[in-house]
Amino acid sequence: MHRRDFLRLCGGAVAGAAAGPLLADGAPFVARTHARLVDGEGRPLRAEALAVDETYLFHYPFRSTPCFLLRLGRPVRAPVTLRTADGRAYRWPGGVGPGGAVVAFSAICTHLMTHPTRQGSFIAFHRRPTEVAGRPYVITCCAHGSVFDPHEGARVLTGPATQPLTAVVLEHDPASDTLTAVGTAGADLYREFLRTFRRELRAAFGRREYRAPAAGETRVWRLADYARVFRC
Amino acid sequence: MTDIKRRDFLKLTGAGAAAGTLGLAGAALPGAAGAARRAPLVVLDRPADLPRPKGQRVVVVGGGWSGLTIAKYLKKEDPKLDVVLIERRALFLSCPVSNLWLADLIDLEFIAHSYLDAARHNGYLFLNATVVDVDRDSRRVYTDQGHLRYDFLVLAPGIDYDYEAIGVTDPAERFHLQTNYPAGFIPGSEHLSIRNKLEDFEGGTFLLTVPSGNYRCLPGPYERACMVASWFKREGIKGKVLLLDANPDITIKKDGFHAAFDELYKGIIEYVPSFEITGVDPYRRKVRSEFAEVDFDDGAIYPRVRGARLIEMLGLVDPKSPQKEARIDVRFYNVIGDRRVYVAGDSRPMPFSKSGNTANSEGKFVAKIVAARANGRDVREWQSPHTVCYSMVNADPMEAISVDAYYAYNPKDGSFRFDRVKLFEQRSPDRGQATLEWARGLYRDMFG
Repeated sequence: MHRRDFLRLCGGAVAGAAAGPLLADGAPFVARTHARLVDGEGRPLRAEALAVDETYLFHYPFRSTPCFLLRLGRPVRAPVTLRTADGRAYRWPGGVGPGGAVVAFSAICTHLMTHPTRQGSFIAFHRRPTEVAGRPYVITCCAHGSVFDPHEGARVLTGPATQPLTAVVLEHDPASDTLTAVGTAGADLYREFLRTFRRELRAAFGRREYRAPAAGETRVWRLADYARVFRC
Repeated sequence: MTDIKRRDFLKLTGAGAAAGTLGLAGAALPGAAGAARRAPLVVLDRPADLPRPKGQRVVVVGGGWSGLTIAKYLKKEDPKLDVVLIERRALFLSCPVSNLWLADLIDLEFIAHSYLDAARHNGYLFLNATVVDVDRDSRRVYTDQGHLRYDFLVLAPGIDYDYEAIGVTDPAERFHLQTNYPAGFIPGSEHLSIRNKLEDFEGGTFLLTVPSGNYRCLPGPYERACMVASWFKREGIKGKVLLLDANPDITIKKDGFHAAFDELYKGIIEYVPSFEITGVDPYRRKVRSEFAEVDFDDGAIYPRVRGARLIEMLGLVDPKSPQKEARIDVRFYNVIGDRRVYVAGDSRPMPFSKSGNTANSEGKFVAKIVAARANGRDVREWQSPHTVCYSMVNADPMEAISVDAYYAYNPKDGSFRFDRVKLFEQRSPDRGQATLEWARGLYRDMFG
């Protein structure tokens, strides 16, 4: 899906605007700096090279804010209308790339901001059923038991979270098969996240870098290479 | 206040309001020498030194997991509310995960938090004071730092211990017991003392007890037994943990705990079910049941729990409550007949677990109810609390078990039962790590 298509789906307001809420009705889509997804060698990542149902991680829209990248092996149900905790509706248009199966979501749990760090990750997409989720192919946050369905915009299936994981809007270029993150839709926890984890993020990403926008390129990792994934 | 009955006090303060502050300060009290009584009344009869309310004022009494959550989420629900959190302690110390600190698995900094941070991050006022009375007619809360008016009042004062229920009625005995063998379920000095006891323990029988009733933190005593036993293992202490349980079996996560007792602490933990304590001799270190008497060398004795004395002092106890808990609307938390006063947290009468996650989830609902009513709306749908409770059973490596549960309400008889219960009783290192992240998340919620 192209960005323009996405904007049209979301209501089509303010074409070409670079920042700020785009939709006239206040639906929470935010266009942000563009960041092309690259591999460990700095080469543009090809969507076709993504393993199906493997969890990848990249940082966006800030250099310290983690996201999941998934190429789902099961059908995506889209578009869907979702709601943030304060009741604002937004439309998740589905995936991009091969088969429309490539999706991305913030990896910051919308309940209490549990997220992957190099020390480990309690939140992850699991192909096998976890005890907490009781079903396969969902994103589970072990710490407090929230379960999200990435096939439907990361809506909450069970647990204490009251809003979906924030969707990361991707553009896919069919000619080069590359992916670029261009914005987010849904809950905006970034300010609170950067404030709450300031100390840890400074240590991990640098005193100023942690709050710099992820612009230009952002590296994609296999989550299992980035952090130990805890199962629950 | 000890010699003044509540009614007399209210009468006096009422008189004070008419006669003015100085008149009250000089008022003669029945059976009391004026000078000895003047000082507290002077304090009580002046307004607390707080900023003028900017909107409807909600006073939250008690800065535990319930009160902290309610104060924060009241502001989230309606930023125009003027929220004051009153707590008598100056420092927050967490009861949940404190057993890990006893076994030296986490630092004290992990469980110690600042009320000032909670207040400044969440836009409410923190008043470090002790509540001594409430006048619901004039909607006024009296504290040792002066009084304040409320539009809505939420009482979340937690628990007190009921030593009489374990046969300890003599105040001297009770004080000796509380001082030397503290229960360790009201955080603060009790926990520090237990840790010091463990550091000093050189061998023998370390006694832990489990009360009957709906006590605070159902798995807490069993987890503590595991953590104390792990400490003995680590330090090479030739000691035994004697766990006397008033209940016929482990009250929650029993398979996981039994497995830990048998597989990790065989010969260290001695578990004795159905031992209902009927008396304690704290001087000779003996506990009695109807059938037996046992000796101990050191320990932490957990008596039964009851609703905080403040609830009783305010005349809000349900006469039918065996644990002296409040008489409230069990779905919407307001005192019967008074939609401006609420009781939440561990003084509530509902049979929900008295635990951190439960109080936190419930606090969000209470905040929603109060904020709605403050704005002339109402909440009609009951929302279940959510119990998420980890128990560390192994220290090296850290391994935990857990439970995740909700509750269901039966409108026919007004009762509650557990619902959607998920038990995770196979201990695992991943769950051990998740225990820490669970706690960090909840601290972020209350203080961040």
